Amino acid sequence: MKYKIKYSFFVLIVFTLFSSCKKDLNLQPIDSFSDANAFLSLDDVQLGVNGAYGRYGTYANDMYVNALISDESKLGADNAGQGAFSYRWQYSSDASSGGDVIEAFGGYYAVIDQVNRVLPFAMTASVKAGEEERRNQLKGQLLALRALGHFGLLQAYCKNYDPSDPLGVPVLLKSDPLGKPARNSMGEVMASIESDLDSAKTLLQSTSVSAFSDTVINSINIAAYQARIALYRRDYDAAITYSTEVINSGVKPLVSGSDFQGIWTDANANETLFRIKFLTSSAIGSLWTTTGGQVYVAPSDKLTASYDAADIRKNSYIATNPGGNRYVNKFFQSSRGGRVVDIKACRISEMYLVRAEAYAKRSNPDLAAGATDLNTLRASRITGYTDENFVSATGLIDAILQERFKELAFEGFRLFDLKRNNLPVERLAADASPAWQTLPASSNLFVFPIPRTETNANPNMVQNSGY
Amino acid sequence: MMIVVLPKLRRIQKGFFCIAIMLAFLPGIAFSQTKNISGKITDANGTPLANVSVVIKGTTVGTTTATDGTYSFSAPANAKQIEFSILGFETQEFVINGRAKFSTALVASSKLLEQVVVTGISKTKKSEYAGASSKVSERDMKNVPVASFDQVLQGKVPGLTVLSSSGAPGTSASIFIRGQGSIQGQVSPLFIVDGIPVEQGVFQGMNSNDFQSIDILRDASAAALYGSRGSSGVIVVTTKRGASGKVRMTFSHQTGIKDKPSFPYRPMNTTELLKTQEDYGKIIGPSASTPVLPGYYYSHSNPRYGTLTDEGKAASDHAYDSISKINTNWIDEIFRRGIFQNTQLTFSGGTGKTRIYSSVALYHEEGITARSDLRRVTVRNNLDYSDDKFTFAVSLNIGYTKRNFIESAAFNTSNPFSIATLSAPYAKVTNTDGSYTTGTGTLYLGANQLDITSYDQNYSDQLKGTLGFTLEYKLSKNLSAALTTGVDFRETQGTVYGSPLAYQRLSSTTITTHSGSQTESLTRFVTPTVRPSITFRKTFSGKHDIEITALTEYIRQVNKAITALGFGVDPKRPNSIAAITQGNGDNKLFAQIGGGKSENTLTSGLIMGRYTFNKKYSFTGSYRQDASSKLPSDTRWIGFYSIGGIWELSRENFIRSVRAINSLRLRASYGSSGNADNIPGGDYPYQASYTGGQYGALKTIEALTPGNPNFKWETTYITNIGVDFELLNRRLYGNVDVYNKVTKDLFVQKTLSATAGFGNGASLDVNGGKLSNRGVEFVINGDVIRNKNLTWTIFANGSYNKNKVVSLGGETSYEQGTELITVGMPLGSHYTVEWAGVDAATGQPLYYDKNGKITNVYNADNAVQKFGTWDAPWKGGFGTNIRYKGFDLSLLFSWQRGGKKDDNLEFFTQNPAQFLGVGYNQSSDLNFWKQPGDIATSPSPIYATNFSSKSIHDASFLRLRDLSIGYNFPKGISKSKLVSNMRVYLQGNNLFIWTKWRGMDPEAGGVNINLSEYPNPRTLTAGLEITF
Repeated sequence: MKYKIKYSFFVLIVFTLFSSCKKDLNLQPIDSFSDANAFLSLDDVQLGVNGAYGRYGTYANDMYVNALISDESKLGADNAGQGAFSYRWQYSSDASSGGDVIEAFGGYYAVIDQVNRVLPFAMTASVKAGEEERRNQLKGQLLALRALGHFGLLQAYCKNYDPSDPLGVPVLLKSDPLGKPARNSMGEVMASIESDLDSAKTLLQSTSVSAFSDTVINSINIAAYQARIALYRRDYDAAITYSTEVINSGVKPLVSGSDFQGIWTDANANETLFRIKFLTSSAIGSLWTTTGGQVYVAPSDKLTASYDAADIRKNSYIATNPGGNRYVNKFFQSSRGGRVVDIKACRISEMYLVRAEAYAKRSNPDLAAGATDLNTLRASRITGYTDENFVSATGLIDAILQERFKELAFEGFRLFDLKRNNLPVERLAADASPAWQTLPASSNLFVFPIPRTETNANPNMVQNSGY
Repeated sequence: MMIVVLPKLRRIQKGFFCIAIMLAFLPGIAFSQTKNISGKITDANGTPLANVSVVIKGTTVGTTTATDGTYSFSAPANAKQIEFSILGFETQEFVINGRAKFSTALVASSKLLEQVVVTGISKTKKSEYAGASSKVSERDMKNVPVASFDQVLQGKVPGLTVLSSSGAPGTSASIFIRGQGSIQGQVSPLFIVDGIPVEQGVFQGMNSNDFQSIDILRDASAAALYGSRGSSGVIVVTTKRGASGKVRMTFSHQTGIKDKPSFPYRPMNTTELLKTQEDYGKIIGPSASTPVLPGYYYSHSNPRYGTLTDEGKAASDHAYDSISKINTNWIDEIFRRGIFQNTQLTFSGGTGKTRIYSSVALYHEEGITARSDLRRVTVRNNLDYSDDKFTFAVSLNIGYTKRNFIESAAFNTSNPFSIATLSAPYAKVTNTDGSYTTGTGTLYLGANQLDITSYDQNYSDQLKGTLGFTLEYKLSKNLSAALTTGVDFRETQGTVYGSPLAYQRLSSTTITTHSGSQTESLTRFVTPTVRPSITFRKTFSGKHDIEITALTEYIRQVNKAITALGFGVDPKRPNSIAAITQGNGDNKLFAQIGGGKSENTLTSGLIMGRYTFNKKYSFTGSYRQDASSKLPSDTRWIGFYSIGGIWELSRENFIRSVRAINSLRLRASYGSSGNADNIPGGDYPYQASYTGGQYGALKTIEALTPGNPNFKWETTYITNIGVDFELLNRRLYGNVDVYNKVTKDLFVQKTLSATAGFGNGASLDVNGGKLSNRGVEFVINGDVIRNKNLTWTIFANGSYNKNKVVSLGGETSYEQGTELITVGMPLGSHYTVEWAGVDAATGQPLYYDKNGKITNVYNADNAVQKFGTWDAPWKGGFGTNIRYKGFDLSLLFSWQRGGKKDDNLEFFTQNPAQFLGVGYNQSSDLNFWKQPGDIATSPSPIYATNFSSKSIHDASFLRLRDLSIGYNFPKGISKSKLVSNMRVYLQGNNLFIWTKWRGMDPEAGGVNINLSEYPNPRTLTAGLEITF
């Protein structure tokens, strides 16, 4: 009997010791979250969604390279090589010279991956009663951000849109850290973008004027992106439908005067359909001019000369410092103090320009309707403006593209607009030395290189031609 | 999970409970009848033998002899045979048969063959151990004046790389066994102290004078015993246990000095530097005409001089003269003479069944530069209890260590060793009022460093405890059960105080720097271990000897760290975080709090066995199943195994007849093991991790690391074949081992696709590559003279290891430090642009491009890998021991050959464009191009110096590591018999080094590149040891 008790004791010790093993082997990180606990509730998922918004800040790179490579800018007075490889069209797939143009490749996939990581949890996260609607809101925002990520890649790393072009970008619909995906065709990428946006729009339901917020994805700014994308894929009827949906929603009318100027210092939220917020970072405020006032990238003479004296945009977008050097005034200062400014990633004026271009380009152009949109926009910008009439579609299209150049400068459009329209980059002699004055529309440089690290790491990745 | 089932548990006589219960039972154990047995054991010459194991055969009852060879213990009344054994002597047995006194002279035996190999899990006779192992015994490490015992091992054991990367008191060495076995994982071996695994690289809290021996286990037999943690080899420390008999007290004291080592590097003196600056200015022209370069500024060859008025010229000449008169030797200013003191009191003794060993030691070392020292108190208590059934051993060490650190170990303007080489000799150290001549600019480099060192503080308090308990119970004649438990505990509190009074802070415009800062940090590291086991041993028919052990093991590592950094410190309270100023919107002195926690678990089951036939052939085998929490659930369990065989050739008749061969044994082993302690990526590398962040005003959770869901064990396979021999009347003895170590599923760095979401070119450790280490090791000893009054032994050991990356599993080569990890090359192979000298016509630096053509364009893309590796393939040690009557002399040299190291000091001190030109001092052998036709080693100062093979040099060395001379006073020096033993000795360490390396120390700094690291000091000590 005595032995049995002692025997039991021993077995008990050994048993308790090792029965705890399985639990002790399944350890979870303490300092960071893991898949097991990162996103348990919808509140957590909301934090994941916030992270995806934050990562979409990579759009700043589109703003930077569109300005540098196109005719919007020239190297500033204090430039010591910043952006010079891009400006001089000397970029390669290597970070040493191609740092600017390869950046967005990693950046947009970081948005997509964040979405893909959070999305399954948005489906499974525990929901309190009455939170089903909130789940849909979060899912909708994630899907839309994924579409924006893919669209960002398509614009930068592919040729002018052709659904049959096999060199789209890999479509990522689930997180795959060790994956080596091949490129999908442009049509497949577009199908995924459209499907994500359609689903998102359904999930997000309609937004009222009073409830509209430009800091979150909602059905109206999704429509705005649908309009932008429809124009990109040359579906002009859809572009008209979507842009009309946004304009008619009335959430953000065109404004003039100080109401317009205040947009750029974040004094108001006029015209802005979607913005990326910054609280303490001056990343956007110092994109072209350092916080210390050194002008690295300046507005081109071509752009500066394009504005009429009565055009409010001239002084809103371009200013001159005490040293007599012009600098980019758009995204320069904040009414909140310092240089902490938001990215105004989508604005109502673009919708007028999208619709005008679609009217002009569709198979049976509506010159009057197109001209009306263009004149409406110009009237809100130029004091004493009188409407212009257009007799040909080409004339109207040229005017619209010039207007986009002026209206959307430094907002991440110019180079992509030229590419979309098969137009060369043409700089003035005052803006560039002869070697860097003309980039023919046929140049491979309109399609950015896939980063060399990517082609090294992923044997299925095909490099764009010319790199 | 594995559970050891005990087949004969019903026979348990005494309780086998948890430790607490056991302790409660202790006083009540052992009531059986006993009788006292005593005697004295000597060697053939009549010299008393200490530490001879005396046991009642077949039991664990016994004791060890004292320094005078005597012993006394109580044996069970029914004891039949008594056995005397000690390393190096033939074991003797006597039938007790009622006798109470046994004194005998033991015959010197087999030198190495009868050694006991302590694996930390078991103790095995060397003759029954199939693996490659070496033992460092007490006499080889005693009184070596370093605080971290791993530094002692250099040159003593073959196959072991020990590089003392810093001479700062208490720094542990870079140590690895049989070449580097991993790329992304760490390569340091597993350290076991009295059966308990201890933290790698934190040994300052242990007193090596308490160590009985260190076993270095290098092959698969040992590796497989430790399974998941054995692949980098195992270093097993056994501490001293009490000797039976009356309590003996030993007092020892050692004291001495530490000085900077001698090295060929010499900075320029004032005359040389001023002349060099003038040469520089003549080439550079007007932009060099600045007071920062007085050698040119005041020079007559500077056109400025010609433009001066006569008064101006006189003033300029006067300024030049007064500068010329200053000649500060910054090497002398930075280095100081350090001191060393170690005092220890040891008690050892015991009654029949219980023995104790207690020691308390005070260690004090002052380093060879300001504010670097170590003070330590260690207390060890080892308690043993044994009767005929039951053995109980407690090993307990507590160390409290306080260390002061130098201002900065990194290469920057606060590191005293870079200051010593870069500070201008014409800079003054102190003002007339005794304060340091601080200021802004390179002229004030040295004084600023001394100034900040005098104001700032950087120290740590460390409490380290290693506690081990082993209970062993003999269930029957052949079966015993044991439980080993223990904990390794370390808590380090760090304080870094940045004084607002130091010039560099006074002059700073950064508000947090200017106000002074205080950092308090706390790191805690706890590793509990539990290891129950059961062993069966039986000899059948006198010929078949079988031993089988089964055990399970559970190890947990828990880490925790907290850091608090505050600003605005009141200089009157530099030792307290309470001295900080609370931050607010006005003062902007916001304190920063950081820290983290992490843990991992390892659980294992092992079965190992040995079969010996007729003492001639032995076969060993082990199988171990391991799981680590660091790996995903479907790959975390893995089996490791080993097999081994021993053939006692000398027991075969055909060898026995050869008289020259006293003993000859052939060993072979093969097995696999893992790298659990060294899995890269922290404790959770297989899991994706997320961290909290900020988007605008909103909080976020974002992916931080991808995690590798396919992570699995990196497995090392070692084949070892060895020979142990004793020849010529046992005068020549040693062993030779050859091995092939292959690491598969090697952790390598994989570049991720950007689609993984971590940006362009992010990387992740994956299993893929294959790494090979092949080599040969030898130990040879010769007893040249062996008689009563004089013994003279010569010994040498050496090894050659060839390391090669066999495969990267399809991943591309990647850079790491100064090397490129490339298939076909050894690890550590330097990767840089090849230097082609200086163009004698133009002074331009020349390089080779990738095709071997000389170019004057520096392009990092031209880097090649043909400059060797830092990991020296050849290394070893040799020396001699001489004993004449009471005198003894021992010498140990250590060496390594074939290692190449990047000399960063050269980059800074033979750099006219970037360093000379801004006022730094340069090396006295700087020879830059001055005019067409010059054959120079450095380019014209108009050209920048780039990183190239120019600074890669041979780091081979031969060091006179230890020299000791001692005298043991004859017996009876004290009439009162109060003193039973007395010894005095002189010891020198790192006395000389022979090397082509020009820097302060070829070992110091990173293993691949030196960055002005603390050189290993030269030490001279004297000591006294008295046993009462």
